Amino acid sequence: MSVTTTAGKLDVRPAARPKANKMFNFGPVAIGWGVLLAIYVGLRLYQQAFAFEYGLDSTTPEFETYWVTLFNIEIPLIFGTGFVIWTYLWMTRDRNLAAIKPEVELKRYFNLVAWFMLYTFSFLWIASFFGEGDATWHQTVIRDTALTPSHIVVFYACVPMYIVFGVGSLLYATTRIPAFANGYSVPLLMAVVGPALILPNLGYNEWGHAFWMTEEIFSHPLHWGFSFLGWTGLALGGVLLQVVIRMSQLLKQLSPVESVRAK
Amino acid sequence: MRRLVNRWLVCLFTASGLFTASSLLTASGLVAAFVPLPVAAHGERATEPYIRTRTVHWYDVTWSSGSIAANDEITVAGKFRLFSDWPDAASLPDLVFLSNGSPGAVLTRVESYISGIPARQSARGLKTGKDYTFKLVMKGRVPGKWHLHPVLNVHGAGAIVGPGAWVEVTGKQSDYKEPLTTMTGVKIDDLQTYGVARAQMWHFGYGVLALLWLLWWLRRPLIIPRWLVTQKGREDLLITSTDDKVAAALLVTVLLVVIIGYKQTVEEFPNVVPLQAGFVKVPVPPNVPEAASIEVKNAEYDVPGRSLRMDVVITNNTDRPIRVGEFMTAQLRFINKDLPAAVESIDPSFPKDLLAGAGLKVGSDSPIAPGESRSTTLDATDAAWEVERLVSFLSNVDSRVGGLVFFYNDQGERHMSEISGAVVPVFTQLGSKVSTKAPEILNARVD
Amino acid sequence: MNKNDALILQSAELSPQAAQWSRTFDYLIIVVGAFLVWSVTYISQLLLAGDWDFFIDWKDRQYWVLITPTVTIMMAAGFQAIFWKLFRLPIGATASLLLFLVGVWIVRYHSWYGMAYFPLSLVIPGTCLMSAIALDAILVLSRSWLITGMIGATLYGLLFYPSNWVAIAGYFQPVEHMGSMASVADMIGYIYPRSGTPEYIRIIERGTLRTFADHAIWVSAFFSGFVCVFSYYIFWFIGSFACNPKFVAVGTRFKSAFGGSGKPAAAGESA
Repeated sequence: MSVTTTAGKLDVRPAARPKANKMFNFGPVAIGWGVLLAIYVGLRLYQQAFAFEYGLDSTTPEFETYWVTLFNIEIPLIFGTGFVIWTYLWMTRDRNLAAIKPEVELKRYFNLVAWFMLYTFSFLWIASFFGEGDATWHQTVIRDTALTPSHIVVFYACVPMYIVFGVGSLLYATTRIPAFANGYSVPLLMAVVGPALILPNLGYNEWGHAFWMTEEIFSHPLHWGFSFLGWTGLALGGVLLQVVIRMSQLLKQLSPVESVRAK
Repeated sequence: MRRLVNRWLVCLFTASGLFTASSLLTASGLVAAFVPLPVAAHGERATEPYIRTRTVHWYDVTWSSGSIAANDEITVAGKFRLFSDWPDAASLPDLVFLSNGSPGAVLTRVESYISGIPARQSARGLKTGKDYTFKLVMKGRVPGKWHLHPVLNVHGAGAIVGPGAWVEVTGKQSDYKEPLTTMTGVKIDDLQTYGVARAQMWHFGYGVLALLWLLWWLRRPLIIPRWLVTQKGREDLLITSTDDKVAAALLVTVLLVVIIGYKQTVEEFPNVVPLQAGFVKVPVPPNVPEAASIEVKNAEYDVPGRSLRMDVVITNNTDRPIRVGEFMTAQLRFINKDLPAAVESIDPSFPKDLLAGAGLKVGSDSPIAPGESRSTTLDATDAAWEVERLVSFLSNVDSRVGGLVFFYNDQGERHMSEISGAVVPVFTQLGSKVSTKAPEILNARVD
Repeated sequence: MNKNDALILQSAELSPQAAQWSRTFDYLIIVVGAFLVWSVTYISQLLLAGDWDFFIDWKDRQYWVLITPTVTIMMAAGFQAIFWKLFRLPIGATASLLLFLVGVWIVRYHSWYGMAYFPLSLVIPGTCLMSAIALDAILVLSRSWLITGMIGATLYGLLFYPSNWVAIAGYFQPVEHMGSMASVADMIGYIYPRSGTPEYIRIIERGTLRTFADHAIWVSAFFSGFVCVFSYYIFWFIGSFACNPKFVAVGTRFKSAFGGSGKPAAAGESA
């Protein structure tokens, strides 16, 4: 459907679809989601198979084999992958952003949104799926290590994963979009750095559990840091506004409306 | 564009690597899932030795069966002593809850008692230096082989796990049912599913209403157009009089659904009670004079030899001769195999992995006469010290250990005494000082 | 597309092509927004009031009724502020609570039931969805966050208990067990053991009860409505603050990495 106006009269009828000037390619996002989904489902199945089987006693060799090994693999693998992606984004940065064409710039805004589609998707798995799964584990069994089968997945696989995409989003914006290269976007920094701080906040969490919190109350003040840092996700509202301000300019620049007079 | 493709190829490649790795892990794990189960604990091995050896000592624990069908009951019963030399790092047992250690709700609770008092609620008033009986009646739910421990949760100290035995649940999970009849005569077929469909139906209904509201807005031109219109101050275009009517209708619907639904629910369930939260009070057991007092003169843990050796002075306060039959700490039982009464005290259901193979060596094992004070050595050697991680007192802030010593008199009667003191690690045989150290520098404790 | 939609596009001065791009952008933002609202609401609620939501034997008259609305209205207000201030979309609260409810049921199945064998009756969630719909509707009718905070947030707290009681009342029928009375909810909590969660750590009503006509729950609901007002305003401001499209200047060294453009930030600074 499309709308054209003539002399103030509205004409609402199907219009010829404008020549496809495709701004957004869903394929890469779909692939990204598919791969992430496979990883998360794989990790969940791994928990199903081995969490209760070999994960209750951190002093056994089986725990070493099944859980510590996973921990030792996932951390370098995920951060290593992230480092490759980040390096790539930086090395291939646009070195002449001042000369960017409006159409390219608009496409890059769509690409930035694609990054957010992966970033928010990956954050969902720690915030909801494995996050409450952690409650299931620690309220059910007796905690005997900081590296429980639940933590090895939720903290040390899921957290690095969304950090990869968060920092990736930040780097994409900074290296390819003029507004984000000319000035630090405060809300974007908040939306990326805030959730990323959940990783160091684990230090506080484990310290508290090691020394004075012997039982699991999920709503305990010891855990509030996770919620507070999660709130920084609200700052994507500010990023959205930054994007909308510039995109609305670009839309009008690329496809001006001569016949429409604003009311 | 090529750059875009390149970037996504890199992302795809690296993510595929992650996926492959996780798939491999999963696959290798699934293959290994068919190998036999190892002996497992429930995390108690990581609990500090000063908690495991000086807080709750479980004894005379029995399991009524090693194998039950789903929906059949099993009873774990026994006694526990709340140790007098309770460590400062753990809160006193002022508020406790009798529980069990198991991986999820594979076994369910039927009844539980502390000293005969029903223990559905947490219990107050327990004192150190006292003995309490406990009983846990459980029911098999999920088929499999499960490790069943009694657990005493102590507020501020955490779960203190008792000895665990394997219990096999046979049959099908569908055999398990939890029927219940309320005090008003309502028959509940199965607590596992009771009320679930009702809650889901309400939540689904609420969800539909919410979804309709979201779709009412999301179907329109959204982000950029609405922002541009907002900038022009044309809110009248964004929220129309139709929207007002829909919002008003929705609000009225919400209020009507909630008010009518609530009213009907109150009529449907006229007799309801709040969560029952009062703690139960467990009476303090009477004082029982200790049959024998034990003074630890020197105690050391021989690291390479995996042996706890103690120089002790035992004073017999009874009117019959007694012999040392058993030293028990952190659920490990070191039995004096030269004393038949002590050997006979082992219940067949007691887990074999908690019985030290070499038992207890008593230096001077002849009967201690009434009133006699006897200097002797107790030698508890077993790899279990390592397996159970009890040697981590080397890295703890409190390097005292404790335990229970069981005596038997010539008529086979059993008496029990506490033993506790500082323990000194010995890293080579040359460092051993048992029986040679001067008594005044020892940190011994007499009950 | 109806007449109003056409008027919006006309007022926005978007060409058909631009409107089409813009609609693509809408769909993408709906997806990003859904994931964001879902996850941020979840992590906020999970660690501030999760225990009351997990277990049926935590759903008491004193704290559950007070704390759950107070906490869930935080992100409801935060997202309502963002969507309303920027786009006049009154959907923040409803989206927040709907996605949270969907997420909760997924986790109850996959984790509590699927991994740890707990029956769903133990982990029936509560929901503030009806409260959230009312909050959004009042925002539309009043066009004012101030009035929504006063009336809507109070209603938010008040509606929580009755809109959940319809779902869970059956769990509070009395049962006799080992010679004493318990509710069905207590029994479910007792029968299905949680080794890491002893009974005494339940933060539930244990103290004195001095209220008129034994209407303890309504006292809590009313107080909850009062606290929700403050919770709403605080998080409305946080949501508003989060919408600040501020850029701060970068150094020359950073600029030189992108061709040395010395121009000021193109967008946002003036907004």
